[in-house]
Amino acid sequence: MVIAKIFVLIVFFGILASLGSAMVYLVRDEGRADRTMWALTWRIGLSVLLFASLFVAYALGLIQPHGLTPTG
Amino acid sequence: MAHASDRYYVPHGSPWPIVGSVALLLLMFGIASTLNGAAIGKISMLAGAAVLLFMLFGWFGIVIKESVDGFYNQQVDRSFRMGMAWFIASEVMFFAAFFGALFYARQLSLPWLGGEGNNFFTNFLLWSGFENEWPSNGPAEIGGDFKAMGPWGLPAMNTAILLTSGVTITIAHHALRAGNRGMLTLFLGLTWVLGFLFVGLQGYEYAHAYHDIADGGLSLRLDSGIYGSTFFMLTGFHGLHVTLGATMLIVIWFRVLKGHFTPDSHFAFEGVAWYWHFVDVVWLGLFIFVYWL
Repeated sequence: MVIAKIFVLIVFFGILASLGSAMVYLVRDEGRADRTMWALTWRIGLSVLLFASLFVAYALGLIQPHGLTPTG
Repeated sequence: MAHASDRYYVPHGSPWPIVGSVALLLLMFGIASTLNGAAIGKISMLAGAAVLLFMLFGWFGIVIKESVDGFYNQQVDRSFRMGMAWFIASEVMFFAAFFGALFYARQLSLPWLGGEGNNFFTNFLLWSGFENEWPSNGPAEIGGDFKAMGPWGLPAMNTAILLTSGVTITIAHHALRAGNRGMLTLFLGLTWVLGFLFVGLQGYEYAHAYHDIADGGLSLRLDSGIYGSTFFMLTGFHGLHVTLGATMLIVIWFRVLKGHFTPDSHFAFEGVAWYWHFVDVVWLGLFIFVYWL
């Protein structure tokens, strides 16, 4: 299902955004604020959500992994 | 900060750059000789690795000592952070190239070979009958007979392990900011243990992939067409980064044991923690794009 793949991509971009903003805060805050830490907390939270939703989407039949045998 | 001054600290007469150069020379000479079948290659490689390890111990030790002795002022700290940002920029480009190769092969070249769009004659004249499928062993079965790596079993378990290590490093980060050294030591320790567990399982997975189908393996190798090449390039270089990250985690773990970090002064921790989140995200990207999408 295309919608499941779009959901996966959106969450993945959210993960990239939180990781990227953590890098910006790491350079700007110089270790004296909590922004880097919280951005990284968002990063791992979203990642766990994404991993869990892959399983749920698979169980609901919304997404399928690649087949096991190549065809050419 | 006994010695911190308004001057930017520059070390004098460090032997480590030349030691590092010798290590790389020995390593490269060893690798090139091994590829050409010369017996001396392996000895040279081992010697290079040993000198490199010696350099890492020595150089890290000096930098840590300079930091603890208070030679680094705010300006040096800032330059470390900028250095980290540029290093990561190069890492992003590195992985973008490999992910780009995967994207190009799957979304562009395979459909072209399969005759999509205005490429009917590409398919008809070059590889008549070739169908665009993924995983592909290429036109004319150039990749040979192999099985693709399925997402269940070890890959999913490895993803769970890396994500758990992402959680533990985040707990350690919160503990550091809160000044809770016990929690910090425990969860940082768990993080590097999980990191090396990942590398071990990845090695096991590779052995399984390389074994012949007849022997219960997958016959999936670096030369198994575009699928094998991109699979091993992406996961292999990622594994190398995990090894590096886990090694850095151990270094800062020992620094935590020695009480080097405070809630307000801990760039080494922040840098390594961010790097660990980065390799975690790269793996998640791999897991999604190689196995699922």
